[in-house]
Amino acid sequence: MILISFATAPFISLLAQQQTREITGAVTDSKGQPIVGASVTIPGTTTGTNTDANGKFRLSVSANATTLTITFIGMKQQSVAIAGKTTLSVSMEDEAVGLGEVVVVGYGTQKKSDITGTVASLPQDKLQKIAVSDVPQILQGAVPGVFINQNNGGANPSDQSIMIRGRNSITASTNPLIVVDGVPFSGSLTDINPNDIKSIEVLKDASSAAIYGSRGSNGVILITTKGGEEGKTLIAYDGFYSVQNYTNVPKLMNGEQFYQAKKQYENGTSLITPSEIAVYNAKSWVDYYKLCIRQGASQNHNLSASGGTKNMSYFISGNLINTKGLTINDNYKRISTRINVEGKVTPWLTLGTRNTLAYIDQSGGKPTFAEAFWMNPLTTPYNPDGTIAVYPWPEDHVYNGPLTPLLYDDSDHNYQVVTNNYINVNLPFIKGLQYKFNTGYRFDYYNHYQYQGVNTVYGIGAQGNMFGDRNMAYSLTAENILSYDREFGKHHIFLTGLYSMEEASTNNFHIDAYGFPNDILTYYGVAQAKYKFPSLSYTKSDLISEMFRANYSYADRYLLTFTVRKDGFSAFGANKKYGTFPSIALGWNVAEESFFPIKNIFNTLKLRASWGENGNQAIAPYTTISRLTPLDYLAGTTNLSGYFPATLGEANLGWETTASTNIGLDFGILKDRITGDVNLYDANTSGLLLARSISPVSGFSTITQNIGKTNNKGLEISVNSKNINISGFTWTTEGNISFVKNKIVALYGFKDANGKLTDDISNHWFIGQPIRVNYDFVFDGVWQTGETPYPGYQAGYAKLKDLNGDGQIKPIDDQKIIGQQDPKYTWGLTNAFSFKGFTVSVFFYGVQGVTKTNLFRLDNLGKDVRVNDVVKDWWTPTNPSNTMPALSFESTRIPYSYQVYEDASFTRLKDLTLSYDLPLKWLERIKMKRLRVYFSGRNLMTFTKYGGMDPEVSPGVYYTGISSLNTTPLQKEFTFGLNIGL
Amino acid sequence: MKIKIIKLSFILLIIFAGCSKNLLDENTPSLITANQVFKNLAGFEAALNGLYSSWRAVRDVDYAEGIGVNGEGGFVGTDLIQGPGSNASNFTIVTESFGAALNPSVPYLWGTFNWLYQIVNASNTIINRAQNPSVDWTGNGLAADDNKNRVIGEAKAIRAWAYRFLTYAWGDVPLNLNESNGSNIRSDWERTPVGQVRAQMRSDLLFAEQYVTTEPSKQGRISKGAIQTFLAELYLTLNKPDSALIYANKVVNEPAYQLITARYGVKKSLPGVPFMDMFYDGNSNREEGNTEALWVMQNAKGLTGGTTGNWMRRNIQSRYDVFIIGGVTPLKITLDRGGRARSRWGITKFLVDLYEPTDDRGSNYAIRKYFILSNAATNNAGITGGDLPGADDLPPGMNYGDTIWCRWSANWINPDNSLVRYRFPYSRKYDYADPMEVQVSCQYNCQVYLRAADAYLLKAEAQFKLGDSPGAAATINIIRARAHATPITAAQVNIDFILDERARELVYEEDRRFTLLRTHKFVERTQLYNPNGGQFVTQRDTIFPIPQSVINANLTKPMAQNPGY
Repeated sequence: MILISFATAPFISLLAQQQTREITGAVTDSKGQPIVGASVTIPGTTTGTNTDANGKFRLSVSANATTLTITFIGMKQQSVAIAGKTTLSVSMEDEAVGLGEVVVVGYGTQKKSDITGTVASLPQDKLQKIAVSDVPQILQGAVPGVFINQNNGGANPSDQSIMIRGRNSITASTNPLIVVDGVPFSGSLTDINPNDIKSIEVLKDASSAAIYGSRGSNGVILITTKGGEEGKTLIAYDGFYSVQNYTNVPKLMNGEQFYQAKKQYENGTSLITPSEIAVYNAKSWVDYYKLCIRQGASQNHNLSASGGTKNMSYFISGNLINTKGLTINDNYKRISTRINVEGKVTPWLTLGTRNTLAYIDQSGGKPTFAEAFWMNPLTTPYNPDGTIAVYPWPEDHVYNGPLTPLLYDDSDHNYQVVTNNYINVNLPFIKGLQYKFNTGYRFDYYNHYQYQGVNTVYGIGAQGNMFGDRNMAYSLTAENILSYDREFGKHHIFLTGLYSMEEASTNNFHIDAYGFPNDILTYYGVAQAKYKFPSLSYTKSDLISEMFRANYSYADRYLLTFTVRKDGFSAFGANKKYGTFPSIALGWNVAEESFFPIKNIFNTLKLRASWGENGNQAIAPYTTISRLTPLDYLAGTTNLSGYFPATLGEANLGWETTASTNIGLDFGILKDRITGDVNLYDANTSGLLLARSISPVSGFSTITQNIGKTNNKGLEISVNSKNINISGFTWTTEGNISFVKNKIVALYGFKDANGKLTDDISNHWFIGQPIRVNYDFVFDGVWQTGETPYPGYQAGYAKLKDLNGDGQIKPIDDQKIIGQQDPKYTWGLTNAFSFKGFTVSVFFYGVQGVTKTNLFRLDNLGKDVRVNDVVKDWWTPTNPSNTMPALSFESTRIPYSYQVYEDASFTRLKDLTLSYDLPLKWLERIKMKRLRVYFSGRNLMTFTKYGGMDPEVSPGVYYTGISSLNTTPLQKEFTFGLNIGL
Repeated sequence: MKIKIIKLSFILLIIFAGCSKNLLDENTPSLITANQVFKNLAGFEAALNGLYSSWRAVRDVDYAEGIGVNGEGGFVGTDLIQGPGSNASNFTIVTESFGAALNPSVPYLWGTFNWLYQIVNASNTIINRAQNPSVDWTGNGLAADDNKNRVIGEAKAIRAWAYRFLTYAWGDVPLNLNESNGSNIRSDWERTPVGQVRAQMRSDLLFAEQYVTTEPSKQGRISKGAIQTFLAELYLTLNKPDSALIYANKVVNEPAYQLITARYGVKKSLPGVPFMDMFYDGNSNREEGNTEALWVMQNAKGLTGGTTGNWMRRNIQSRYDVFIIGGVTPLKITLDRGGRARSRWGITKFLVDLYEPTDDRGSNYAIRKYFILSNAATNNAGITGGDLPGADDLPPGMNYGDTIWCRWSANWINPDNSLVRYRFPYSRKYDYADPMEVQVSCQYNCQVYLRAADAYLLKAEAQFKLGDSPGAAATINIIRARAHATPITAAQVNIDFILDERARELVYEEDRRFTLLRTHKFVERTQLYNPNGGQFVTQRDTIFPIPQSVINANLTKPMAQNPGY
């Protein structure tokens, strides 16, 4: 524990010259325990003192002083009104900053100062103050080395990818392991209510993640939910309401522009149908985006109660999220409850339970952004009677009305139960020995039925069409944890042993049916449907693990951690079921040394080093087994069940292993006015779980094998600084930046004639290059009239760069690497300014060094321009455009198709929040503990050179033969929120 | 208290012990492994069914591979069939210009190559696993060996069929005769000389010919006659017309295989010609009266295994429903008109002009040349679901019952006005519309894949090559007589006439490209008769480039590309 002392002696003479009065008080922590050594000051003056051994203080202040500020490391700064008061009682709240804090490290907790690995704790501020409904958005840009990408917009926030410390795997998953209250969590991070979370820790290096062995190589996110505290009951309400608009909606052609494009297509030879001409002449064309998009709105209400007695504590909460997405009918509703109760049954036995029930409703057919994108504007979305037209384009039934999904009967419900029960036994005969039996069970039930009646495009032909999905999944964890924690003089020993078992299983029933007698019963009429295609599937996997961890420290200065874990996983080959993952880490609290010379600058300085091996088991069950797939034939109308080889198994498949080294530095400068850490790492992944391409001559194109090596090197810096703290005005900055350099070291070990390892060009994997690169022809403008094009090209066609200068375009010869798809570095920067309860917080998020394809630089308008796209500067003989080839079916894809790549780096004003905390004296009057109101805006501004839809979401793909971007841009959001504590 | 702890520890110990290690052994109750399938006759039959189902992709859209119709490489870019029409698939676009457009990156090529080798591997698996002595071959009331040899025979026939496609398309191709597994993955494939591959095909077909029966083992499977026809074709390719003649004769002389010479079946009482009866839904199978059929592709609506997405009609028909006369699009999509068209491919003017007026095969029943404007009752007839088309829209000055003629006074030239393209005649062999869903893209009718007429024409070709022109003329006249075409004389027989006759008879049935390659007439005739790409065809184009993905995946041994690519 670090104490701050104020040198009070020099002030005495100053004080004597003023008229003063005396104030006494007591400072306690949230549990009512006295705080020793807290500093008590009058802001803007040099008046101050420290609390004594009983947490009491006595201070002479000038008569006109109005406010007293109390600070203590690990606690939130408190300002107390003193006008007219002589005695004060101040209760301080924990603040999750600083090395004094206790951190969850997996299978236990540790003091932050004792930690040897790289564990990043999410600043509590982020958890409490950002008005978002899901955890990934909180993590984004907040923790160095954690890269979160929102792949797609929409009401359901779950389409996100998370990557910690770069991409190790070429084809296996990069998802980190998520552990909630000690139990590996099989659901999505977005299933967790942020209001229930007490802390989030991210285990990044091999040493800290090694306790999760076979699943640690992508990092681990540990989430701990709230519990009750002994003492007064706390009732809290946290809620917000927000409205949303899209950040960037592509500017599609209107009817006039579309008509002109049709005229221009292939020298004016395309077919314009009479109905299009009629719409054009009447100028009655529509903007399908306008028809499909609305202003979104979201509300989030959270009510919780917590408290406890000497032997029992509880936390109960209920949460409602109701989001009306930007696309009509894109609704997301989630109701969840949490009950956490812990009871001390006897002095040596504690029982606890943590439970969540959640219900998610996403019912309703929704127009897709994609369909609205591609629909021909010269069509009629509604029938004369106002109903939605099934075929807005009478002559071309391929393109159904984007609005027809609104007519579906769609029921989409998800029910989740998570129950986590544990027993803690403090074994009395050996001091420091504790046994914990921890169980977790998660059940997920998903039910989705959709009926498309005869008033919809899929229903009209099929005479009523339906599908149904019923998916049941469970995951089960049982852990036996034995720990021994004891100090012997200056020696501190903390040993942890684990024996655990996990099981995960899915069971899916799916049915397709069509040919309904009528629309009355919708999907409930399935028994009467003429054609029914049911199917049933099942998977199960098991994991058995043993783990041992030893922490040793001497005099809080020298720290050592050793861990080893052995995992057995059912999905691996018969001879490769088990893997062992060791790690070791050292730490040195330099600032604790008596010889440390600059203690007045560095109050904390810790050096850390770790090495360890982690695994990645991210493969589906049954991958090692060669399989056949059902493929049926017929004899007349008799089904002949058939099987066809589908998957090539590899019986020797085992773990993907990442060995990584981390060197880190934690610091606190000027009495923790500036804190932060720096980490350098080098991770080598070998025996990749690689879905490699094989020659199709074998009858298969891929097989998953343990083959290849990758390397990740990175640097992460995070700094938190209290820049200004004068006269009640504070300015704090939290910043982080992480660089990662990722490369493929080896693939299959094949060498070319020069002894150089060979690339896998078909998969765009190149030795020495990042794992995900763009490899393509280089777009170099448009062939102009009068130029002599390469063979196969003509004026108006895309000009590809002849990289090898042989006068013709050929694959490989003229293809090259065009940038990487994963960012080179990412950063987050939050500045917060507070004055008299008002706080302005500005969060910028940056992603740099990404190259993405820009689909707006291509065409896919269909023969005769049948689908819409953005307006482009198409080449014509009289318009020598050099950016967009001529409007034709061939100009961008014959002889070779290509993509145009652009730098998709961006800086985004992710969050801007203005909040006001009511002062304590007002709160006391209305008997409240807390009242905070805020306004915030998300994704307000974006700075980028990228010309595609949104640099943050996936660039999208064009559907085969149909022009359509399949991604939805992110939303811009304005929020009003309220936090109340009673 | 200590006792309580001991009790608790004991309970936990039991929980510990419950975690047995065989938890890690995988059971696959919902999955199929080779060991489960290849145990007995029923398992081998199921593997054959899977093989036939995959073969069916030759006329499928198969978007699984992201490519168009797997069989189009055999049709399009020849003297008879031209592209692109509308929104054509990547291979059809290629045939518009050949040259640089036909290159190793064309997705159609790798899609088709992959698919054919999947069939090769599936066949290899059946053939090799059949050697396992523990297989229980009893069943069907037949001797175990009969079952075994017939199963192997069918698998070998399909393997030979896949190599037929591979060798015509790419020439020398790797000869793979093993079941692939995790331990025999190769990155050093070599291209086997085409002669050696064809020797294997001959050996496979000869084996199959012994054991596959005249009537297929199940409706929709291959027959002895089909195998004999492929043997006749193979021997012609190998320039052994005497052997070809033997096998063609086996088909021609088999009493079970009879040309259709009289009206039969579902449309017997309606106006029509005998030749077209074989192509109507409900008529194509031998069981339905099609005595000429040797191999019939099975499709059905609403059954598991009913289809994998057959779009032949959609590709072949002209988009009659959108062409404009006098500012209106007169023609509705009806059941009688054979469903919804897409104009992806089109026949050449050369083909339309090949028929004499009396030839049934060039009549409006076989090649669409005109439409009759119809009222609602006629257009709605037979439709049981979905939107009813209603009456045609009358162009100014026209009435119901009037004829709208297609136009073929000149070939359409791409890029051409779509309105001209969409009004061009088309083959009606794949006309089909679902009464419940007249606009649907997919079709669910069984289709003749190979019929005896092909064997007759192969026989004529063999006879001609052996110098027996009178014999060849007599054989051809059997085919012509059925279609009411004028008989020919021995003097008229030459290879071009035989190819013309094959065109008249087998357009959109035979793989025209392969026929032209076999007779060394591909470059000449495509240049002459296909104005939408034929003018760019060179000798190089007789063989496709090896897909770049295949070359790239052969990591340890360079695989030679075909010359000129």
